[in-house]
Amino acid sequence: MSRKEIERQARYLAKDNRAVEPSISNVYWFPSDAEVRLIELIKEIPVSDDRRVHPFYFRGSKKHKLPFRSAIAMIRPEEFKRLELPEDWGSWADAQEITDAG
Amino acid sequence: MPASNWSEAFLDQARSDFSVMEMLNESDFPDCHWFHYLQMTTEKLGKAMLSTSAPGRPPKFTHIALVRSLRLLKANPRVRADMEMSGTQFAAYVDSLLGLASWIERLAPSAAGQDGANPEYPWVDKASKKPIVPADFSFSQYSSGYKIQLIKLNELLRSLLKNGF
Repeated sequence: MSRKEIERQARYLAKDNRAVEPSISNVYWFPSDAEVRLIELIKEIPVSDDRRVHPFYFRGSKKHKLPFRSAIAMIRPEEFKRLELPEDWGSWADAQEITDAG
Repeated sequence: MPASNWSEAFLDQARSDFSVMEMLNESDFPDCHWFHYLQMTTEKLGKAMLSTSAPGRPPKFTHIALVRSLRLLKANPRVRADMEMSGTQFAAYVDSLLGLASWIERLAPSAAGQDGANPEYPWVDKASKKPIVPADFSFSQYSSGYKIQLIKLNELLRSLLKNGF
């Protein structure tokens, strides 16, 4: 799998997720060769109870234009850059915002 | 037989919990048991989703996972295709379950506290200050505002447990 293809899926998911969940204010991609890694900011979820980012993992599905596994977490906007990232996700400085404009 | 990874392990246990829940649905046992297994099914499913498919140490979990997992499922094109719904339809379907999801999260004894109803342990009745036994409590009545949502959640659980996520 190439980083470019993973990025394409990350952008597809970011756009799709925003469309069905308009409360998502920002989407950040953490580049990786292993899987799609996204953090979405949304006010309508509970505050983290352990100060960590907990991504949910979804397996890939070529049939649905999602060939790669995705790890997606939702956090509150004020938790951005304040929670501990999962192991091997790098640092908050690695986060790249994905906007609808691309 | 050992599962290949933690996600599969929790998913398998969620399937087993769901089977018990379905058996209880046809039984005369007190309804606390059905709600207990509902809460356990959603908890194991949430943990399956929070686990990587890599083998190794068990993942660290957050207790309150159901509402968060539903919001993410809403945005999962594969899951909504499995439910045979469009993006808008599935988003509305999941949105209608968020209140129930929050209610189920509060059924966990750790979230319910000593005076909150939960299907597992006796709790203190606020008015009489006496203990209430879950098996003597009508959870069906307690959850009566969520009748339709419980049916819809059941269908979503069935699809997730069958097709994965």
